[in-house]
Amino acid sequence: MEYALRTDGITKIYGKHTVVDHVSMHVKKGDIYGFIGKNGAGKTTFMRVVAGLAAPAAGTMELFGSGDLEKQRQRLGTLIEQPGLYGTMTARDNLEVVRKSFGITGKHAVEEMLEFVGLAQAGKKKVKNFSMGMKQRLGIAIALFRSPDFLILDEPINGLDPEGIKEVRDLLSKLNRERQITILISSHILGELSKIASNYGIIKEGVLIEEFAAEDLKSRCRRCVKLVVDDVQRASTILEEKCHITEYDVPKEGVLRVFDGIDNSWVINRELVEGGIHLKESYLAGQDLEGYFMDLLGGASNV
Amino acid sequence: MFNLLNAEFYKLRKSKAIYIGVLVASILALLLYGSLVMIDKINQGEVANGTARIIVSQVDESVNDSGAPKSMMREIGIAGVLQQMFGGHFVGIIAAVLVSIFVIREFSAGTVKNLVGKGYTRPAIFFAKMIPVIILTLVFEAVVVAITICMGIPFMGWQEFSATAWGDVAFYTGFQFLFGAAIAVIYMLIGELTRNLAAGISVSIGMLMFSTTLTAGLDLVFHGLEMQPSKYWVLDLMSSCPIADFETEFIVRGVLVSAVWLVIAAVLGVLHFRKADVK
Repeated sequence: MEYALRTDGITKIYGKHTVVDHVSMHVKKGDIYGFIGKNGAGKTTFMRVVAGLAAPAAGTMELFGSGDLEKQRQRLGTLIEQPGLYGTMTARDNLEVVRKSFGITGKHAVEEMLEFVGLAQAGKKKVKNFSMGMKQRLGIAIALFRSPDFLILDEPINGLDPEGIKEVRDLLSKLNRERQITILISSHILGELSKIASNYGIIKEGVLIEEFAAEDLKSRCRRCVKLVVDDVQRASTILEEKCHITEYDVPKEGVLRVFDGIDNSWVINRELVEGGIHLKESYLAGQDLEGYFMDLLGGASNV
Repeated sequence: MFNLLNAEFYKLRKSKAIYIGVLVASILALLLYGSLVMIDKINQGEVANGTARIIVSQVDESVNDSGAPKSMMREIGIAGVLQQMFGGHFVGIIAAVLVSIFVIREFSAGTVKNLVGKGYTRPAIFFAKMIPVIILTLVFEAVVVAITICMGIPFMGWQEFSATAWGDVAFYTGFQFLFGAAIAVIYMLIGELTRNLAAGISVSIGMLMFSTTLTAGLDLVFHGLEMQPSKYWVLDLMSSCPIADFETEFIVRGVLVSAVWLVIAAVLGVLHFRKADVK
């Protein structure tokens, strides 16, 4: 398995506060990795450590299978927190600074990138007068300017209008699909994230609590009838023999999740009761992605 | 490194602050000449003492050898006005603001993130900033010198202009460049440590205004040991630099003290930038 990023026990401490706590993340090459956590969970700090903006207190990491981070970081494009922009300059001048900083030849590169992110018409407008969305787009342009292999984007759709969100989403999908750029992205807008992410990592209070694939997430969020019973073994037999249901599982002791025949759940209930099962609870379950993440993160809002 | 320097000079060219700084320095030079004109007029009784809030504590009504009223402006001369511009820290204050803006905005606007961790070492990024900072200060000082000299012609007249010891002025300017380079790197260090525009400017100007008082105090404290710390502080040298009759001891000390302070500030700046997180 080829990884664009593999960390082992990355820890970052500010004073007495452990902001990132032994995070071991695995981002495969070609992934769009959705990084989810509440405000202050440690997402941005972790991204800053990966990008070389902050030094970890402990832990190791590899980029593209190499521990030579100085060299490998040249393959990164980053947009972490606010985009770094000169407010008194135009979008063109900002990109010109980046172009000169990295010795990219040909001024056309600036024009092409402005066109690519939809800022070609910004003209002489100073960046300080840009809308939040325009600033984000310019930040993405800077991140993309050196044709990176790995993009690290922290809340890149913050402040964008729905059309802008869609544009960025399409752009990231396109970059991933056509240029095989690996993307590590955090966002509060989980619905949007779920439209592009192929893998997820969930961080809570600095600890990476789970990593899983998008397909896995779909099954976790599948609609079902949840049954809380006294005898799972006997209930399973009744489901199979009387209700002819084969799609079910037992997520934990005393609980059954039935995916078949949901629309006729009353039949399931009747058969179980008639079969002598003590049916403690029976309810329709299944969530949207947002609800699932909320549950994982502790139910609070502001994810 | 060359690419970084290229980008830094591009930013300098695009910066309006430099042009505003030059404009402010020009106005200060104009005001300085204007004050001297007023002092002469007060001394000669042409205007009342206190006009335009200029108060001459001891009105000098003496005359020169040819019987004409003495002119303070002619006594000071263009070189003296230049000395006031540098020694009175007018130039230093504006340079402090310019350097602080140029350095600290990289942190406040977050643009330093576009470079850190992108293949350049942190010392390379620091030095790529330091070199333009020094050049910015020197160019600014050169422009101030040129403006002060040019303004002197209409105020002093061609005769005074021709009589100026230009060799001494050039030597004095060279020394101010030397001190300016060291001070610029100290301003940069302050910017790197504070990373906040208001704090950076305040600390830099505070250092400019009060450090010489502090060294004067230290001179008193160490008087018994025959030590004079002010002789080794670059701002003291800046304000006490003579406009003529340069002594070898001062020349050697000036060069060494400037070089040492420049190196100290650069090393401390690099050490801090290497370790500090970038937000």
